[in-house]
Amino acid sequence: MSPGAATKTEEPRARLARLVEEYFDAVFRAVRRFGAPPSLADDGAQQVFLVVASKLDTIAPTSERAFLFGTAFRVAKELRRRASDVPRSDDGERAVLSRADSSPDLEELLDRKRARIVLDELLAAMPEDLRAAFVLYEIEGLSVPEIAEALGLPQGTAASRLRRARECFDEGLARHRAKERFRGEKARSMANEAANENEGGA
Amino acid sequence: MDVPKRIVDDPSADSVARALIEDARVETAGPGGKARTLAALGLAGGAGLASTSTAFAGLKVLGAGVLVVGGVVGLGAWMMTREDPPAPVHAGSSVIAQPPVAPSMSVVTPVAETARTPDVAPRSDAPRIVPKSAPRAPAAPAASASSAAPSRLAEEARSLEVARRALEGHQARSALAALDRYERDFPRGELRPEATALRVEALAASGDESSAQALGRQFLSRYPGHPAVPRVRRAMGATNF
Repeated sequence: MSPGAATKTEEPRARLARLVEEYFDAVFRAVRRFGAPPSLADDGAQQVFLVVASKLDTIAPTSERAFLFGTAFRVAKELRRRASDVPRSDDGERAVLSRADSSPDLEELLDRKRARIVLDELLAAMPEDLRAAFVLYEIEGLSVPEIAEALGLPQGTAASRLRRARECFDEGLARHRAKERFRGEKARSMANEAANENEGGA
Repeated sequence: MDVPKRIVDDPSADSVARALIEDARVETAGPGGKARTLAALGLAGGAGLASTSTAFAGLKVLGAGVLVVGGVVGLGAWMMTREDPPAPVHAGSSVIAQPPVAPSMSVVTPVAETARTPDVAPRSDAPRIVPKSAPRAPAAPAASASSAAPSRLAEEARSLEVARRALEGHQARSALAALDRYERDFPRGELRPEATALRVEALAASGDESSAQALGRQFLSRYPGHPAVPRVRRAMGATNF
């Protein structure tokens, strides 16, 4: 059971409020990393808790996290589907920049922005089933049994997905590095050419 | 069971990978997101768990932007969740005779089944909605949001879940019928803003573009800070907003 999990005597309203207090940010992150458009992640998190409210009396105290993240996965999937019907805007940019208030300075904000863009790209390149397992394990810290419960999988399947997800992530990072190197070399080469032309003309 | 070490706990993991994951782990929702959700659930003033700072963030988003104390937090919840009695947007003939939502769509659990309101024919005057540009001051601020019985809130949420599932299943007419039932059963429900957002999406999905546009505009005017705003905009965008 997670640290703040419900006790038998916990009143439903208090339980619901506790779940929002404890898990809102984690659910938001999960909705976001499961691939929902950034501008819809807040709304997605709220939808998750509306579902929780509708089923509160059926959620076992030991299954709270699994229920929350399993619901987040389904909500994110639906938001992604709906968003794909409509042209994309500058979702990512705005979502990252909207967090400016929590960053001490512009440099750190830009670093974070870059980091999250890279992570988004790596996750977006992963198959959906591997991505879900990876996010729950690596970012949200769920155990294998919790992941299995959240995604409705046997534990062996969940573990196997985690292994493949890690391989997939490492390969994606290696590809990203190779691309960055290529860009860097190309930029240097262009700069050299420009310098040579200037020298030749002088 | 062979499970890889978590990247953040694995000394042999790539340092960039570790940095990316560590950063993602501390990402938080935008300001006010939690407060809006507590308000949407009718919990902002009464559960005693919402922190003052969170509640203030919600109020800021709601435009209440003044120094407030204690029970005024409930006003934020009220402003976020209350609507005046709805006014018709259009005749909506396309949603008058909707079939009831298929039983397979229901997410109501056996326990909840006993508390569920009986299915009846959908209202003939739907879709309805939205209100004036600014909400009135409530007569009893915190009470309306915080006194709703948990079971009633759960019923509301279940009712909307039926509509949401129908929408996910591309059954816009069933979603509209479910929303009609919601409005009939909970005319002053805590979750009416969410119901309105779902109706905009359902209208757009059903091809009733003019109603989706009209209702969407009313929603945006009344709930400019609601988390469903991007979703409503997208639905309106899908109908050439």
